[in-house]
Amino acid sequence: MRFRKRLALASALALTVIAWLVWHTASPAPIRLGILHSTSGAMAFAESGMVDGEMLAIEEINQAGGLLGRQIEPVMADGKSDWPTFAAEAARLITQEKVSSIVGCWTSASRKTVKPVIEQYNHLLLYPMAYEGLEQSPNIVYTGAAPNQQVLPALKWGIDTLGPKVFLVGSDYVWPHSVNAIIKDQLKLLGGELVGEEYIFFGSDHVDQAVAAIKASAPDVIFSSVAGDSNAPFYKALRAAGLDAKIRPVVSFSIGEKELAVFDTLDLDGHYVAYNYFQSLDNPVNRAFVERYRARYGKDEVTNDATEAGYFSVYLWAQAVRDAGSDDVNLIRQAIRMQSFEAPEGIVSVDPTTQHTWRPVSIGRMNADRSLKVVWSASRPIRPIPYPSSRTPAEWDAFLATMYAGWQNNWSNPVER
Amino acid sequence: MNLSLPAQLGLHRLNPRTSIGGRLIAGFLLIALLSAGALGWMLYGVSSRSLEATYREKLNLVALRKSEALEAYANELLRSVRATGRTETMVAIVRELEAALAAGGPDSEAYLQLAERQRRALAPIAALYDFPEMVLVSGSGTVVLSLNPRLAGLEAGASITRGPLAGSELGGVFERVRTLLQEEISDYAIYPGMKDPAAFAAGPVMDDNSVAGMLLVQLSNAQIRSIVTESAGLGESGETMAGIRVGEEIALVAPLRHDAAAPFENRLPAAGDSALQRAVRGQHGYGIEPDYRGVESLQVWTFAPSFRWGLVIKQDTREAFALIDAQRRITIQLLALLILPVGLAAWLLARTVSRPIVLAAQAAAEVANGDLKLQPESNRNDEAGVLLRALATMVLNLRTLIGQVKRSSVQLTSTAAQLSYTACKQEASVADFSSSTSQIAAAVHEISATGQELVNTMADVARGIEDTAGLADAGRSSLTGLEETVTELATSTQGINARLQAITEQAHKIGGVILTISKVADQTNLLSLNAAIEAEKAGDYGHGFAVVAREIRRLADQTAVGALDIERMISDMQSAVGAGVRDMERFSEQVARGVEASADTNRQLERIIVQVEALTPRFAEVNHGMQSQALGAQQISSAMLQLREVAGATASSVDDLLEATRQTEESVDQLRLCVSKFRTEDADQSTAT
Repeated sequence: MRFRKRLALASALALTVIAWLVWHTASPAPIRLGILHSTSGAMAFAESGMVDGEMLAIEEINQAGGLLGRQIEPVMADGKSDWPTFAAEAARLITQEKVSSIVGCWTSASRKTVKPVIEQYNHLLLYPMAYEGLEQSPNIVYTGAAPNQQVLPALKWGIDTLGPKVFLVGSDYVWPHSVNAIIKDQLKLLGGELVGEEYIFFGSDHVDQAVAAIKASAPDVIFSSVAGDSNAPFYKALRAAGLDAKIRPVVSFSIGEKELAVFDTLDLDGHYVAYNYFQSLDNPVNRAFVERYRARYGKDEVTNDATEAGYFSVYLWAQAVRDAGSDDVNLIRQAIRMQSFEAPEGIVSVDPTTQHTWRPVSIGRMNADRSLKVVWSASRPIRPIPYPSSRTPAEWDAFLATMYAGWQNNWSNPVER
Repeated sequence: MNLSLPAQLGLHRLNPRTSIGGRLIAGFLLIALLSAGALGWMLYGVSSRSLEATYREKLNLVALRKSEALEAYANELLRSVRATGRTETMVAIVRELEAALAAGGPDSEAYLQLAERQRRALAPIAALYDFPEMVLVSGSGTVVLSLNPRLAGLEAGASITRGPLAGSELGGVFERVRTLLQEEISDYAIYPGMKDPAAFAAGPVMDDNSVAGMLLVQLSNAQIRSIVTESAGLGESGETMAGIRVGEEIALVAPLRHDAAAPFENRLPAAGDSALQRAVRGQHGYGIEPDYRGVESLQVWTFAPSFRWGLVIKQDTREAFALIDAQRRITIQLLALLILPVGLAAWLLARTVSRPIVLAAQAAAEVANGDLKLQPESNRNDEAGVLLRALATMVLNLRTLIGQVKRSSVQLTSTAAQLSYTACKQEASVADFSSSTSQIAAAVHEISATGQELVNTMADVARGIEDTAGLADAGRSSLTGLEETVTELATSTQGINARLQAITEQAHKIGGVILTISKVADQTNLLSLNAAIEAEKAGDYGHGFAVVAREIRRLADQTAVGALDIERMISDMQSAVGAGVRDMERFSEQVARGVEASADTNRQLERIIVQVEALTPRFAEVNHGMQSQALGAQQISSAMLQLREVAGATASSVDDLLEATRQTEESVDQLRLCVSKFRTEDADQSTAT
C-alpha cells in the first residue's frame, strides 16, 4: 500500500518533470523563408549558385541554433526562367506557403514581375543580384549591386585602362538596356566614346550578328550584359571570329567563377568581369566561407558574386528577424533597414534610405587556368545610388515605362530580331 | 489459541516526524514555501527576461536612432555638396580659378584677387552648411581654392594626388569621387597641423557635359559628435561609443562619458571580440559583457556605413537590473517572513485535526486493552467525531456481549460443578456395589465350601451307616447339626437375595443419575451453541470465545455419549443381577427342599436306626443332591465374578465422566479468564463467582 502510494507520487512527479521538459524543449514551428529562383530553364545554371549560397546560410544558421529558438525552413519555388511564373510563384509563397519573407530572383525581368506581387501583399523580397538600378521599393531590399557599385566603376576603369572606344552588348531585356543607358549617360563625362551597341535575344545562341558588329566597330573595350546561357556561344563566337581578348577585351557584368569553371577556358582567357565579390578575395572571412561552401557542395565547386550575395542576404535577413524578435514581415522590414554584416567580400550594410546595400567592387581577369585574378578594387564599400544622377528618377521611370510598353508590356523583348 | 490481545498500539511511542501533526506541519511548510519559492523564482526569471528584452529593445532603438541620425546627417551633407558642386556657376568658378592659377601661379595678383572674391562668394555657403573648410580642386587634382587654409597640402596650387595628402583619407576620397563621379565622405583622420581629427565630404564639380573638378568640404565635428554623445534614454550609466578602424587599431572618435580623453587618444586593437571590435568589423548584435571599465553592461553594437563607424550603445547591467534585484531581495525577505506565520498556522490546524484522532486512538487502545468502562463521547461533526461515536457504539455492543458471555460462563460453571458432584456420588455408588458383590462372592464361596463339606460329611455318614448302625443317636445329633446348618444356609441365601435386591436398586439409581448427566450435557450443548452465536456477533473480539464454546459443546457431546455407555452397562448389569437372583431363588427352593428332606431324614432317622440297612441306598441320592448343590454354588460364584467385572467397567465410565467434567470446568475457567479482561460495571461481582 505504502509502496504503491510512493510509486504513484514518484510517477506524478516524473510526469510533471517530463511534461515540463517536453514543454520547454518542444521545437516551435519553423520560420519559413521563400527561395524563389529558376531551377529550370535558361537561368537555371546561373541561378543554382545563388540558391546554393542561400541554402548554405540557412543551414549554418539552423546549425547554430536557428532564429529566436526556431529553425529556418526554406520553401523552394521554381520560376522556370519564365517571368509570369515568377510572379505566380511569389504569390503562392506568400498566400499559400505563408513564408515570412522571400529571397530570390536573378534577372531584372523576373524581379519586375515579382515586385507588384510583393508590394500588393506588403511583403519582403531580398534581391541578391547586381542589377541596373532605376528602382526602389519599400518591399524590396536590394542586396545586389546598383549600377554605381558595378557598372560605373568598371566603365571608368575600362576607359582608363583599356581605352575610350566602347562597345555595348547585352541580352535583349530590361537589365542590359538599362545598364547601357546608364553607361551611355556617363560615357561622355568620363571621356569615352560609344562605337556600337547590340542585343541578343534572351537565352538565345544566335550571337553572330553581335559578334560581327563588334568585329566591324573595333572597340577598345566591350561591356557585356549578356545573361544566362547565351554567354558560352557568345565567347566561343568571339574567339572563332578571331577577336583576341588582348585587343578586344570584354568586361562582363554577368558571368563569373561559375562559368569560368565549366566554359572552354580558351574562350574566356584574358576577358574581364566586374563584380563585388570574387572567390579569390584574400581575407579570413572569405577563406572560411569558401571552405565551408566546398565542404558542403564539393571540393571543386566555386563561389561567385551571386552565391555570396545570396549567402549574406539570408544573414542580413536573419539579423533583422533577431532584432525584430519576430517573423512578422512588417517588423522584419523595419529591422532590416539598419543591418550590417561581415560578409566574405567585406562589410555589407543596408542603406536605410534606398534599401540598397553598400558593397565594394573589383575587376577580375579570367585566365586559361580557370583562375580569376583581381586587377582592380575599390578601396572601400560604395554607397548605393540606384538612380544614377545623370537623369532624375522621374526620367528614369519614364525610360523604363517606354521600354516596357515597347515590348508589349514585357520586361524582355518577346520578339527575336 | 491466541486469546491474549497484544497491547502493541504504542500510543506513547508516537514519532513526531511521522505523526499526523508533524506531517501536517511539514506539508504545510513545504506547500507554502515551495509554491511561493517556485512562484518567486519563475517571476524573477520572467521579469528578468522581460526587463532584459525591454532594455535590449531600448538599446536597439537608441542604436537605430543614432544610426539613422548619422545616415541622415551624411545624406544631408552629400546633398549639400551635390547642390553646391553640380552647378554651372561652380564649374565656371573652378575653371576660372584653374586658369588664373595656370596663368600666374598661386601668388599672382590676378589669382589672389580672384581667390579673395570667390572666398567671399563661398563663405555664406560654408556658413549655411556649417563647413569649417571648403576646397575647390581642378580635374587634375590641383587645389585651386581653399576657403580657410589650415591644412598642409591644401594651399592653392598644391596637388592632392601627389603632395603631402597623397595616400591620406583626403587623397582617397578624391580618387573615389573621380572614379564614381558621385559624392563621397572620407573617414575621420588626424591631419598634420590640426588638433582635432577631420573628415571631408567630396563631390564632383560638373555640369551635364563635363567634369571641371571637385568640391571638398570639411565636416563639422560638433554637429556629428552631438549625435554620438547625446545619451537620452540611456539612464545614468549609459553611453555611446563610436570607433573607427585606423590600420590595425580602432580609435574612438568621440569622448566617452566615463573617460574624457580626447578623440583618437583612446585606441584598442582591431582584432578581438569586444562589442566595439565587432561593430567596427560590420557586425551587429547584442550581449551582456564587461565594457572598457570592466563594468558589466548591456550592449548593442552596430555599424554606421556612411562613416564606417562601429557604434556601441550600452548601459550598466546594475542600473538596468536594479528593479529586478530589488524584486529578488523582496521575494527572499517575504519568503523568510512567511516561514513563521505559515508554521504557526500549520501547527494550529494540525492540532485541531490530530487531537481528536489522538483521543480516538487512545480510546481504541484502552478498548483493545479490555477497558470497556470508558465512554468516548463527541459532539464534533467532522470525521473524528464520527470515529469517536462509532467507537462508543462498538464499546456499548462489546460491553453487552461480554456481560452475556460472563453470565453464561457462570451458569456453565455451576452446571459443571453439579455434574462433578453427581459423578462423585455415582462413583461412590459403584464402589458400594463393588464391595457388595465381593461380599456376595465370599458368601457363595463359603456356600460352595460348605456344600463340599456337606458332601464329605454325607460320605462319612454313608460310611458310618454300615459301621455305626448303632450309632443312631450319634446320627440323630448329626442330623440335628445338619438341620441347623441347612437353616443357616437358608438364612444366608435369603441374605444374598436381599443384597442382590440392593444392587438392583443401586443400578436403578445410577440410571437416574445418568439421565441427569444426559440432561446437563444437552443443556451444555445448547448453552455452547448460544455462546457460539454471541461470539460470532462479537466478531474478532469473540473469536477466542467461539473456540471455547466449541470445546464446551464437544465436551457436552462426549458427556452425553459417556452417559449413554453407562446406561447400557447398567442395564447389562441389571440383567446379570436378575439372572443371579433367579438362580438364588432356584437355590433357595432347593435349600428349602433340602431342609424339608433333612426334616424327613430326621423323622425317618428313627426308622433308619431301625432299618439302617434299608437306609443306605438313599444316602447315595442325598450325596447326588449335594453334588448338584455344589455345582449351583459354583455357578453363582462365576456369575458374581461377571458382575464384579461389570461394576469395574461402570467405575471406569464414571472416571471418564469425571474427567470430562473436569475438562469442562477447565474450559469454563479459561473462558472466564478471557472474559475477565473486559471490565464492565458489573465485572466486580461476576469475577467473584
